[in-house]
Amino acid sequence: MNRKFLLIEDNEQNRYLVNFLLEQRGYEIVSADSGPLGIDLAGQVHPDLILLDIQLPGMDGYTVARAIKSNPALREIPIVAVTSYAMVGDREQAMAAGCDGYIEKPINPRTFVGEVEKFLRPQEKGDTL
Amino acid sequence: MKAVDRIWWANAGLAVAYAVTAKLGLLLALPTTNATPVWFPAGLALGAILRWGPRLWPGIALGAGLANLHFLSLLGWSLPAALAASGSAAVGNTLEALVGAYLIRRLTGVSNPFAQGAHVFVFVACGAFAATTISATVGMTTVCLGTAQWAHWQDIWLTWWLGDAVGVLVVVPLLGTWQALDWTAAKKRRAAETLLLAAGIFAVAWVVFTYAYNVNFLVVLLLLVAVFRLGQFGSAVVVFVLCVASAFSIGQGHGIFAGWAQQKALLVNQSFIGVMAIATMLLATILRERTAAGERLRASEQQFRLIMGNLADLVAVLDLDGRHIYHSPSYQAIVGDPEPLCGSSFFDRVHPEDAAGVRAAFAETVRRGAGHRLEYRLVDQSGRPHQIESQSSVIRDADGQVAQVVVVCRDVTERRRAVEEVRRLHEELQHHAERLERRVTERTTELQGTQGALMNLVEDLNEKTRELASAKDRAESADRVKSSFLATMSHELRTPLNSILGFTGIILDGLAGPLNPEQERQLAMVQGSARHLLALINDVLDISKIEAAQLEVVRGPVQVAATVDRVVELVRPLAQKKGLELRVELAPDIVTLTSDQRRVEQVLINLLNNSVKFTEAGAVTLRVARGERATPDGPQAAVYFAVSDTGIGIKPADLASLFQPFRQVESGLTRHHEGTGLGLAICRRLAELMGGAITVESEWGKGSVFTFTLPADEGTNL
Repeated sequence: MNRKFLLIEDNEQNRYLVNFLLEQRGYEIVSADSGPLGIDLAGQVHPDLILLDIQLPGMDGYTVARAIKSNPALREIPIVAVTSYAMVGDREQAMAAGCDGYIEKPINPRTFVGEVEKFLRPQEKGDTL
Repeated sequence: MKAVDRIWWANAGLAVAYAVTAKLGLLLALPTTNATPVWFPAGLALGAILRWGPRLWPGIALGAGLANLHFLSLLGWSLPAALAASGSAAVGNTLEALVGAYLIRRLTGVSNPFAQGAHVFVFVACGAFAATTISATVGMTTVCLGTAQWAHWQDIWLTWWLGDAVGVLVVVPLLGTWQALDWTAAKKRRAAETLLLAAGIFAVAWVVFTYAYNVNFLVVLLLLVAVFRLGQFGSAVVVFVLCVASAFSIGQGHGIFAGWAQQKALLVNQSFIGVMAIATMLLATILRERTAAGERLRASEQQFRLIMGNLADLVAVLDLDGRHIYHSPSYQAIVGDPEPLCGSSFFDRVHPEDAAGVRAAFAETVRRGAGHRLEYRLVDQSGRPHQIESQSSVIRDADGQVAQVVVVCRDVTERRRAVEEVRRLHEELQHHAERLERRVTERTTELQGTQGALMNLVEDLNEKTRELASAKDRAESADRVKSSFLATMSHELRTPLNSILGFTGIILDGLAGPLNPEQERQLAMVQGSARHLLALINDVLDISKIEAAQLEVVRGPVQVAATVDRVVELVRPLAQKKGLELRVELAPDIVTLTSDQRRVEQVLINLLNNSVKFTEAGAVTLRVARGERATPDGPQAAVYFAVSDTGIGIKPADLASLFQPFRQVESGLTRHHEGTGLGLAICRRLAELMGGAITVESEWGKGSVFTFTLPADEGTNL
């Protein structure tokens, strides 16, 4: 499949869960377990969408989002933050850092993929169909 | 220019006046000798120079020249001879006036000689008799040169001289006293008296010259009356009248001189008039002098009394034995003696202790003729002593002998008292100042102590402040720690749940392969427990965030109808499962609110879920209506969300603790109603954070009504 997702998530189980759900639906997944690696991979693979955990060790998700959005080649890639809602203003902060969507953990495995697909670029969706 | 014009006109006027007077005087001239008994122009000339100064000599010269030319022409002189003679005579006339005026001014120092008797003597001697010799000599010589009548030179010279002298004696006083005349006061009476006296003169002249009775002495009486009644000018007028009358009579050849040689009669008459004029003028002047002196004396006396009357100092004039001749009113006022003191001894009033010294000083003053300054006491009638500072001085008589002693005393009793008072006050002040200074010193010491204490206090305060600041820092840092703990907790608790719920869901959905019914049932239990755990975690986090003031309300527009639909749809599956009716009654006029969408939904879901949970049969109803609620600031527009059910209700005793955290009402049904026990507490806090409230009404066994109130925006949003 041409449609590639980049998943940046430090927890192995969660990486596996999201991988499982997306692969079930036929998407190709590239995973990174840290922010810097995620940024490198984004440049290499040019994914159709990036799923980004905010609570990352070291470089946090906000910084990663800003770094990707500041790269003209990657600016058009939608980023969906997947995070455990914790404090006031997390959603606003994520949007301000350049994220296009925001999904709270724990995710609902029945609805998760549908929610993510809403953020894919329509034309690309058209191409793949 | 103006002054020059004025002098020119004065000279011209004087020339005309001179000529006219000369012409009139000629009418009195004796037909035979052409000598006049009185030559008035001589007086006019001298009077004018005295009065207006020597600048008028050209007028005199011109007037005299013209007059003489006229007379000589009448006498049939040839013009050249007449011109020469009249020029010469004019020089004589002018010189006469100038010399006379010069001498008078030189000797008296004044230009009006009628203020003092002595000046009148000078006037008579110089003006009338000395200066007139010039004109007589010059004129006579000229005439004799022209007529060659040298034989009569002596007679004619005498007549001429006397005529000029009498003219001066009669006319100059008229001009000189004219100025001093008081024209306003008693003018009419004076004029009448003058006329009366003139008439008397004429009457005497008439008797003398008509009947040849020599009653000339009567004139003296009339002149004396004039002197005493009319003063200088009136007397001069009367003398003038006498002069004219007698001269006229002689000219007519009448009276006592009838039969006399004219020349002789003329001389006698001239002498008579001259003497009368001199005597009258002298008498009038001396009288005026005396009167003026008397006036001055009276004025001086008045001034003296006025000064003495207003003098605070005591003034006593004493004779050489120390007896009072005069004393000022103040003396009497201060010493307080009602009786006049004149004649009594000054020493009687001196304090006995001081008397000897005062007497000695007085004797010294008299002996040396020099004043003394002395201090002593005077005693008034009531026996009270007065402190006196006195200065004595002496008055000398005409011979320069000490005649009287003047003592000027100043009562310094009050002053002494004041000085004493000031000294006392000064001492008192000094005393006060010293005391004050002592107290200031004491206070300063005290204050220094206090200051030390204060400094310590300030130290303490600073330390406390520092402690407080560090406590605040610690508190703030604790807050930060708490926040970060909550965030971490949220993350750390959810991450495993993400995995549990995620994989449970995947397995239950059969994505990982088929399950048998028993496995599916047990796995559903795991999922239910995990969901409950998640709800618990969420509620605990919520309440913690609220307690840590970490929860903020995000205001924005809330679409009421859509919100209500959404929450009702979320709750509906559970209600349907229990066979409950879920009703919504939404007032049509409610459109939007300004509040926190997410939190409003949270509260409504919680309330509806509770109602559904605790109701086994019947209905759960959500009513939304607008209304007012009472606030401390007065009534406020509000929106009510009332959730009512037909459930088990709440016992009154439990209502109070209903909104406390972890206090699910104990009903024995706990197992059947799973929940965290935090929902209502969270709801109430959220409602309050949004500016609203939650209240409850309930009846045990019948149902409850939870009312969630939010402030409504005034006007447009409703």
